[in-house]
Amino acid sequence: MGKSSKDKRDSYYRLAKEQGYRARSAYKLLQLDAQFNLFKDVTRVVDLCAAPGSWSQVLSRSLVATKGKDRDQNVVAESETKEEEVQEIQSKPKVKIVALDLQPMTPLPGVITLQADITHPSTLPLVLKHLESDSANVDLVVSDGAPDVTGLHDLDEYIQAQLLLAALNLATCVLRPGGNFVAKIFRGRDVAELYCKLRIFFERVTVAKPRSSRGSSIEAFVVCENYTPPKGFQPSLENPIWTGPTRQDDIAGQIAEISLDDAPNGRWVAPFVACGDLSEWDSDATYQLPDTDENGVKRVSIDPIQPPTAPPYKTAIEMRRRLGNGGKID
Amino acid sequence: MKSKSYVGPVTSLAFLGDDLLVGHGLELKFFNLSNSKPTLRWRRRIFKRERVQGIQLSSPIQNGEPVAGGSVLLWGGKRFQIINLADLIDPNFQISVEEEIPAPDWILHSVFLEPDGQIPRIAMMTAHNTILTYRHDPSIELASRYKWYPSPERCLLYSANLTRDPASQSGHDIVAIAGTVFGEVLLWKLDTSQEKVPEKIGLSARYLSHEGSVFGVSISPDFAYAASCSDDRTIRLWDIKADIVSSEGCREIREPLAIGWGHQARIWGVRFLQAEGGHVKMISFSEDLTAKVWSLKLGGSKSLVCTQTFKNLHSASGKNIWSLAVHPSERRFVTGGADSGIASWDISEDVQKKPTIKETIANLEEILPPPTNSGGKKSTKDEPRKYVALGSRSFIVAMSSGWLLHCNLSQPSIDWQRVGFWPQIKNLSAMGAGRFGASGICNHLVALGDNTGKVLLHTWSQGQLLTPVDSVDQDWAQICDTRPSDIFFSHYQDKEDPHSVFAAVTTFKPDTPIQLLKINVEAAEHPKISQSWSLIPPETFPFTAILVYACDGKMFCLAGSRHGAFALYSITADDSVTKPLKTWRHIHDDESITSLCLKSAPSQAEATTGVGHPIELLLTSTGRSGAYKSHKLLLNIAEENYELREINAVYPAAVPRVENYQKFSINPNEEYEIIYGFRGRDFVLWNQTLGLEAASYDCEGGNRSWDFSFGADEYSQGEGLLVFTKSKQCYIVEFNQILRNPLLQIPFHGREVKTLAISSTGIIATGAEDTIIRLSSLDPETNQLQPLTFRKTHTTGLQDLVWSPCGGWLFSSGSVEEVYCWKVNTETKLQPGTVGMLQEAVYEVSTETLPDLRVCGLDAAAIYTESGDHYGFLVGMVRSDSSIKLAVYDILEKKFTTVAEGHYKTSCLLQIRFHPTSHGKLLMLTAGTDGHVPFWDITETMSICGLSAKPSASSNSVTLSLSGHRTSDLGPAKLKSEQWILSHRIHQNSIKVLEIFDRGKGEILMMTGGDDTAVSVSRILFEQDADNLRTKISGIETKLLERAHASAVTAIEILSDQEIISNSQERIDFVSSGVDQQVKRWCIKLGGDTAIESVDVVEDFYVSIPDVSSLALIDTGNDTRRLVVGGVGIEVLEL
Repeated sequence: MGKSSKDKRDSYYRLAKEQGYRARSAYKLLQLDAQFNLFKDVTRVVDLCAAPGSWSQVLSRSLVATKGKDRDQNVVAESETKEEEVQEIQSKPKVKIVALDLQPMTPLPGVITLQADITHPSTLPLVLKHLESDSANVDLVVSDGAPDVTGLHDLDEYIQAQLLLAALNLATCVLRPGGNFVAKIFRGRDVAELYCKLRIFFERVTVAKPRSSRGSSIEAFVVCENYTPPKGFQPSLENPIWTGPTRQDDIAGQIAEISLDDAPNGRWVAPFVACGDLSEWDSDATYQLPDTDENGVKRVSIDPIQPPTAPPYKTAIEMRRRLGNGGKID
Repeated sequence: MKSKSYVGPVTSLAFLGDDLLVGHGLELKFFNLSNSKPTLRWRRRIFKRERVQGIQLSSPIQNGEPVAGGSVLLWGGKRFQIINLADLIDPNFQISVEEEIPAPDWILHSVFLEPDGQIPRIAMMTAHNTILTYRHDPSIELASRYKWYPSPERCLLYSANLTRDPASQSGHDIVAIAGTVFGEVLLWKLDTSQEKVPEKIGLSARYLSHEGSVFGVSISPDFAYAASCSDDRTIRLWDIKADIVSSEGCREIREPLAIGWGHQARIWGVRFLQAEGGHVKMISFSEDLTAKVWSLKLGGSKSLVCTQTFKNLHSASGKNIWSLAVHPSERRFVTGGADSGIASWDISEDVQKKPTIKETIANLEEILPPPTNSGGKKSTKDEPRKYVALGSRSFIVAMSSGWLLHCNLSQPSIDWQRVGFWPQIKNLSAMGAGRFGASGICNHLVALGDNTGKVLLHTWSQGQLLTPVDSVDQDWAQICDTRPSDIFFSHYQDKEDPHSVFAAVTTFKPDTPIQLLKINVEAAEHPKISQSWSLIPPETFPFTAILVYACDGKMFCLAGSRHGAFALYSITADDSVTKPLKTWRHIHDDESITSLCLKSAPSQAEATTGVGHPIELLLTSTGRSGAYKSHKLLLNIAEENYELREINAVYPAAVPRVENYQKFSINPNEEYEIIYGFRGRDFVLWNQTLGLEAASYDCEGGNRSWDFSFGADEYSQGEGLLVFTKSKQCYIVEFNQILRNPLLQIPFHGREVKTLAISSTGIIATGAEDTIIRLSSLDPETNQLQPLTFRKTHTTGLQDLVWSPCGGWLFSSGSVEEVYCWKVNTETKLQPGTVGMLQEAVYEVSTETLPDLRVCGLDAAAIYTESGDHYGFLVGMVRSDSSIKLAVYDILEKKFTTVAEGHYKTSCLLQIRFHPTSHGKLLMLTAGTDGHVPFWDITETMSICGLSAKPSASSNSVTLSLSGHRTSDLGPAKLKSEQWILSHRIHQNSIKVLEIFDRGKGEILMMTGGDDTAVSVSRILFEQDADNLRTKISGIETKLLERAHASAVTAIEILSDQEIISNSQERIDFVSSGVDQQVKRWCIKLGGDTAIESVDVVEDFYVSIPDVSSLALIDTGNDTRRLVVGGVGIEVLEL
């Protein structure tokens, strides 16, 4: 399917290109903010699993007064170093946006992009260094990370839960009391277990579905407000919680935790909020696009701001082509 | 509620000697494979909520018996069970799910360790690259049975494999290999025999070169190699010898020993096979539905060579082989799929058995006499011209020189024989063979036509010529006055007249009669033409096939044409020239009919007793349209009325050019329909019953001289012979085991079920993301789903299915505006082969199709005329662009006509339901992603086209009545928001399900389920306006049950138990389900007026079906009902 037919199929895909976002997922964060006012008084924010960077773009545009056009043409050339900082441009003096991913990310104005593993203990000092802080004073931690979905639902939901819990562990290390945490969640069979865990750390836990997230998709977002860790809780990436035992003493607690799974019915379920106004685009709907825009100009399909990242099977396709035989090997 | 049966992904497999253990859902199944027919011995539930994802045995089976003290380890998610092997195979042993043991983290792989005396010990690798050991001593506290080891690197894994190293080649007793989500492969070692846990454990090696997540890892039994497979569609082989013995630091290797390319999708697993003659061998399985055997010559290339590919392992559509186990002999392996299928495949051919396909190129020069060089002219090369296969072990070939040769394949070496030489069969264009004979012996009658219109007949029996050759010369009979173009035989033999065979001779002259010959074979060696008729063709009717049926002194001949038509002739002794009684066109579109066969006919007695009743013949035919079809031919001789009814049509996409079809009965319970023909360059034998390819052979296409025959006798059942000419040479291809059934467990949908509907006749229709519609029945004894038939006609995943109230029609919808109407023909007993499914009509799409314009919801109401005749249906369609289409489907014309259309808003619509009120009004309810339910009064709109609502007799089938004639020239009426009598906001976003329960007297209950996790119950009272123009809502009460489920609510089914509790209180139950995999039964208590007093959960049940999309009730007789749950698989529940 060509890019223009995808334009018709997916209104947010088209909108993202028109407004210069790297991915349609930008609207999910925008709609979450519209509902929860997430960006109010935020000066320090950490974006986890950030590549290709659409959430960082939203953060940058919302929190940093940048000049320039909508489409970020001021992207600096890709650097060779693993850890890359982009010179901050005319930002409000206080605002710090740190974006982390294992994959390299094209730099963004006003955003510090780091290539690092969010579960690794060494990541914490690195983040704190870039926040120019030695204590946990971050206002907001966001994570839009998702795994390669295999189709084995129980495994996929487990891996997604582990990504979320890894993000939570990092969040507990950097969030100030009263800070907020937003992360992608798969609303599968064991989702209530995650809600219960998050509620231990936050005053309010809500599960939100932006209108830009497809109704047919299992994804939603947990919005956790007012970070209030239990008394005596020691955040640590050396001994993260709920991500499997990290020492012999953990075993008893982990097993007790797991035994609760058998009674999922009694578990607390987070309240649900659909966000984004009904007048906004419906990501499930098919729109008949007029051939011309409101000014009578013929509509042209624009190229995506950033081509999709190379799929892991890119080389396999090239190999197949090289071998000929109609693209088939046998 | 109680789970009665399950269909879903097969997640683990392990051989237990010759038998097989299968992890299927929450259950473990035991298949006995030592008999010729695999049998399921038992199935037992292992876990409460986890699927059985892994099976390990503590020791191999010896002499078919478990070794004393042997155990089996089963795991899934964060749970496992250890069971004594002797107990496990005892059919009376009970496994308790309460015995399941929680593990501190997700188990990716686990193995038995050296037992501690009698106490089994295991090691497990978690998804965080951590190893734990567990000592199975129930006398001590659970946490203390575990021992934790520090991880060399805590990272998230997709795959892991632990291998015991009893000889301690590595200096340790466990070698671990792990595949990470970031494409790394990690090797490390652990010694679990030491009491003390080391403080730190290092990695031995890190293998970096995959370009995506690593989904499978494995170590060769000799600890020399590791293999990994990935999202990047490759298998990578690593030399680990140095890393196994090394104790210093971690090596980082970026260069694999070799790479295997070839899978077309993600690869889920790879296993080592025995190395052979300096070759490392592996087997892999993938998302692309294939398994591949790989080989690498050591010291040679850097590419793994794929030596065998096993394609479409269970079904030709869908995704994912999830599990594979290799038999200890390594001769065969079994695969388990996402489609619930389990199949067994041979890796190496059994030398004792015939190969499945054997190809020979005949050296005809050796057989023929040397060409005589007469007159100094250079002789042209003699070529094979025409073939007839006489069963699967012999054939005849006519050469361009005039030689007729016979080839016998029943001996180990091919035996050729020169039958004779006739100059007049040079450039022979017509040759055919028919079968005759009694009591299991199959003889062949061969007819040849020469270039002057003469025909020669001779007979063969089991590779021997019966007709004396010297008499052959005199026996040419003049049949027609021109060169014949073809000779074909009727497939049917009259049981009362076993000595007659019918053949037809056609010529190249268009529009000329064909000659129908009755050949007497009473003296098998001297076939004689006893009578002949000239059949005058209808207009443009080149004959391609005939079928003769004789009964009670009457004889009929049905002929098929090159343009897809049938013609019926009455054959009488008196008239030697006969005209067609009736012609039917477009039977196979306008394409050539390639075969005609009688499936069943009444016996002589049956046909004669029912005087006045038509004789009912069941026919099957194949055509170049790509179909095989079944028709009923009704011969009413007395009234001279002849009727043809299509009852089934199958388009096996795997064989686009269908040549013929045959049904084989192995025993009364095992029948296979085999279709053969061509697909591109390949000759394909397709088993329609199993939905699997039986065999295929690349013959470079079907446009050549060829013939095929199945084995003709009991001893050659399952064999086939293909003979053809390629590059002027004669090719002989022998097929064996065509009827082999590799399936141990029948496959279902290859992807998730999106929609499920049960007909009033008890047929379960399911539509899935794999684009297939399946019809199944439910065995009331075993509660197992039994496949009836399937169709792969939609080009996209199914969106909705709805049955007509009578169960005779099914409407289906998908993306790209696809809507089909299917006629479903059933006989009294539901079993495969008795259910016909015809694609009767397609709803015409708009001119400019929007990509991905999905038809998300359907409803159908039956339409009857005032005189009570069934006219058709009103079909409602709601779509993703917010549009609504209402169409009338005419069952006689087999046509949809749009009668009304309009838009709701711009949001996607998902549900539509018609509701006729007790006041004779017709309401339409729609729902979509905006959480609203508008109630449309379409009474007036529908009355324009003559439709009015009839108060329905039964509570949930909608009937409309049609008065007068519809005026079609007006075009579709407009649906407008002015028709809303209410727009009721219930949910925050998508309404995933909407059901209506008609309480009568103008009152309904409406239940909805939403993505917002809520369930709603509304009690609505309708009233007529004073001026009788519009329906008014006089009362409405809604109870919104927030957080009814933990995630999206996708299915609701009303149990329709309306129970009067007291004068003022009534109770109605319904069930709901959703993505949280819980099925909840709710009880609604209704008070007076419109009050809903309470809605409470009365039962809550976990199902092992992820992504639940649908619930439906089925009546299984004797007042029992089952609840069918559809999603990733199907679960049947007892209520």
